[in-house]
Amino acid sequence: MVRFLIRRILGGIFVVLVVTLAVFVLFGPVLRWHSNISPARLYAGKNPSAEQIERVSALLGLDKPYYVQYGYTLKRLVLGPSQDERERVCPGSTAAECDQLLGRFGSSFAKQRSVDSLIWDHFPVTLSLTFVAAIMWLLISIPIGIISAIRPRSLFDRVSIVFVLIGQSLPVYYFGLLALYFLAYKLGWFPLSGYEPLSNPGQWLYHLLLPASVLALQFAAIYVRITRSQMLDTLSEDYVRTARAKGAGETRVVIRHAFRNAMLPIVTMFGLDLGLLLGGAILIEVTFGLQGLGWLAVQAAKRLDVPTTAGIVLFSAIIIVAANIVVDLVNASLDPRIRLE
Amino acid sequence: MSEPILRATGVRIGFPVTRGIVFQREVARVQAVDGVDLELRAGETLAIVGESGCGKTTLARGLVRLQEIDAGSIEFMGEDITRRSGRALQGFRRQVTMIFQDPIASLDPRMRIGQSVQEPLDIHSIGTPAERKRQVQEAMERVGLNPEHYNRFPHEFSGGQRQRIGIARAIVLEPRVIVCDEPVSALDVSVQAQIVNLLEDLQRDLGLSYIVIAHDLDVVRRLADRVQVMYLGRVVEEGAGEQIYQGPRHPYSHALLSARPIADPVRARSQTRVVLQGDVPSPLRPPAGCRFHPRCPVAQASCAQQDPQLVHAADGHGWACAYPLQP
Amino acid sequence: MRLLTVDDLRTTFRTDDGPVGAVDGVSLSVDAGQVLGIVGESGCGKSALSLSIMGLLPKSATITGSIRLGEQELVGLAGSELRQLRGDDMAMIFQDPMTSLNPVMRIGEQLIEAIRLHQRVSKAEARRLAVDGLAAVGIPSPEDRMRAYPLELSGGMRQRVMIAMALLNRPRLLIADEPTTALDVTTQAQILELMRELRREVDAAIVLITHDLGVVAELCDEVAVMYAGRIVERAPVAELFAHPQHPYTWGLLASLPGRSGAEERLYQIPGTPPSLLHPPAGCRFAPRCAFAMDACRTDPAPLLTATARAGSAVACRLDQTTRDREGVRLSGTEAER
Repeated sequence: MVRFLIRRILGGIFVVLVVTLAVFVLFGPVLRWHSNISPARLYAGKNPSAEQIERVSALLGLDKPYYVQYGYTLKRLVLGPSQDERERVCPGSTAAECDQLLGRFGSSFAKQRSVDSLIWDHFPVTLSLTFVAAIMWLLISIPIGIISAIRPRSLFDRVSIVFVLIGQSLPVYYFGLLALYFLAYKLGWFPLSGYEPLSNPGQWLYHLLLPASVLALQFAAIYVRITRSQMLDTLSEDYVRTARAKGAGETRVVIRHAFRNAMLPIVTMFGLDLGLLLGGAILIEVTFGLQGLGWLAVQAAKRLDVPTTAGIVLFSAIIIVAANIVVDLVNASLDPRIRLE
Repeated sequence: MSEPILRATGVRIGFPVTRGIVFQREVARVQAVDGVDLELRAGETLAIVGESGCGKTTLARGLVRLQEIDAGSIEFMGEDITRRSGRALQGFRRQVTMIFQDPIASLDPRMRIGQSVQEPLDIHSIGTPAERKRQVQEAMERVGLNPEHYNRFPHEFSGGQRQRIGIARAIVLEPRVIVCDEPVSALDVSVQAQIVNLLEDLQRDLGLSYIVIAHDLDVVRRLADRVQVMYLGRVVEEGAGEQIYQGPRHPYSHALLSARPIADPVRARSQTRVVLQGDVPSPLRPPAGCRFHPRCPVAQASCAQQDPQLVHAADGHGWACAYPLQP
Repeated sequence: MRLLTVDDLRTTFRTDDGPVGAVDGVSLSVDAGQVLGIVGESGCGKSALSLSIMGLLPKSATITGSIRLGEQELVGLAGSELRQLRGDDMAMIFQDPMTSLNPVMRIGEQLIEAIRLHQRVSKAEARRLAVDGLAAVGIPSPEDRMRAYPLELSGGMRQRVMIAMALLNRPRLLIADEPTTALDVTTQAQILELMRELRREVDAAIVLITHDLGVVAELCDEVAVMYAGRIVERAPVAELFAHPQHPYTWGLLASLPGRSGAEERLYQIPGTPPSLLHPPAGCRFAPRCAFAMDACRTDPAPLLTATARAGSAVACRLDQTTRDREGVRLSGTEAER
């Protein structure tokens, strides 16, 4: 088990390394070669002189060979910015002030902020949205999926299939706009946009309810389908028949024997979806004006804020890799067949 | 005695056991087949029997080169084909075909059965399309299928008929040898008899040689001229069918024979039977000495140290046991 | 004492193609301490029969007729009442021990659940009973095995666990559906031996469903042969093997590879069993029967009626002399003695 965990973590670190390299190459040399965009030119402000650009190049360390730059990027990611860079970027400021300007992911071109602080500012929004939506879609989809599987072809099952189809085929931005127009604008039941921090839980939930519902509806459709098919499979397993032959009641058979086995692939999917969403639910965040990571990424991309865009990509990758490892651990704890491989 | 058509010498087949966090290295090998010799003569049926995990299916796959062998050699009609590959192996594959246990799993459900049967001809580019179709229809007729069913799908057939389709596919190349892996164990008793009879008819009419892999000793007794009994990757006894059925010398063969339920209530209840205790040990850590000794009802102290080799009597009956049973 | 009485049981499955009469008018009875074998090939309805008795049929099935456990009628019983009987008064062992135990639950958890569903005992007491149950079926170090997951046990051990689980609440009726079919021959011998020992100890009526006449000969007192949803012959085990009365039974016996000599051709029943969606009119075996007369194909199938042989009954139009003569000739019983 420990061996398994170590192997997964080492594998995860390897994946993150590959992603850093890809991000570095894409946002560095490729961007420059393809669009003739140089970070130094962007950072130097409007219509910079050649001299200004050179100064900025030196300031950002862009005058060094690529492999040195990449090596430093990695080092900064792990250990934080070097003293040398701190002095170049924020001369004369205190450590705390400098942290606001320069972080592990570098500093933003668009704002006088470190990418780290931007991410930490916007991440709670995404986290809250994902959290509320995840709870909603699990609460909706798992009971529906189970009941559909217990009574296949019943009226309930047919209605739920229609629900799945609608949920899966409605584009989230379109559905989101409809919801905004009718529920928030016309009826005024929900706020039109914005986010309230968790310090005020009522307002927090009130502002999240509509976007989370739209997001949850889309995912619930997928989860109804997978829960139903997994339950149908396990309900026809021999051990479920054994449980019935023991005299176990239907609820016990369905929950303790069938669902306990059926949820293993659902757990896997759930972990991966969470990881994906935590990297930013771009469409929902933009539609509902929620300033989360996805929203930040769009803003950064529009302004050609290369370090921020790259930082968000890297941050999302780390979250997805971490989610994968957590999924494996949870699965191993639920399923002895994995644990005793 | 004629030259064997298929001969295997010292065949060893193993599967790696790996360990390691990043770089996996092989730390051990499960020796599924551990030094097996066999000879199949033209027109003969050789049966390989044993319980699950004894290596009989791995051996069969090795014999038709579906599984790489680690050591030893396989000769077909006097030629060593152990290391052949690609084109050079094609000729061998035409001559040695296979029938599988599960006729449902071994047929492509979306392929018309005529196509399934014809596929080997297509692969080996034999004849014109018209000739291929004729050959397929001949093969179907020979195994008792209606050639008019050429365009049907596997699900339209019963288990016995599907096994006939599998047999038609195996004979369409006009092979010399067919390796049959549990050919009837998935079938009902009455259908089993039909397939056993069909295999016997085909052997007589086409001069086929069979290697039959089976766990059912009664089916084997009908089909086989010679029998090899395997336990944990090794042959523990071999000989003519009647030698083994009438006077098994290895305690394991004796136990296998004795374990069969007998379809006769009087004899079933009067005979004393040897019931082996425990399960077959893991091939990862085979017992020292004779591999059968921990379960052997007549094991002596020395059996835990000495690994007996296969010894043969003058009549060809061979056994690997230090204290063989008296016939 | 008569423990199980099944009377004119009909089990019909609703399918997209129409109703399928898997069990079509079956009557049988078993006494306490007796083993009744039900033999037949796949699709003959033997499993549907056992599931009907246990009340484990899917919702697409309907049953009519009568199933009595002791004095209690099971057909028409409410789900909750039936559930209380299942696993308590009547228990079942299934074919494939590899898939019949829940893979994510420990053996102990599954055994304790079986006890506590029917007995008001503490967890600790249930645990003690479960360990005793494992020991009784010959599982070494049962305490340790309680903590094991199914995948840590061999097929033979898992089947022992299944048997232990079925016997935990001392059932009056035990149904074993192909209990040794999925096992290797030496493991099968172990399980058969265990079942022989247990049948002496537990005073239950046992219904053994199997396709293997060898298993029947080893374990059963009486045998019922099923074909296409009906019982075609029923006899004490010695009678069935010595003087089989139905042409289908002759075919089954004759096609056993171990019974005829190696030189002669194996007897084969021509054709395949009929589809139960459109069963043949008349006797269902007639299309495959070498002795079928015109009446067999057109008139309603004969009912199970007593023969001149003690305790045996057959559903066949042939006269006694022909049945005796052909039965012995075809199934090769005399030759073997």
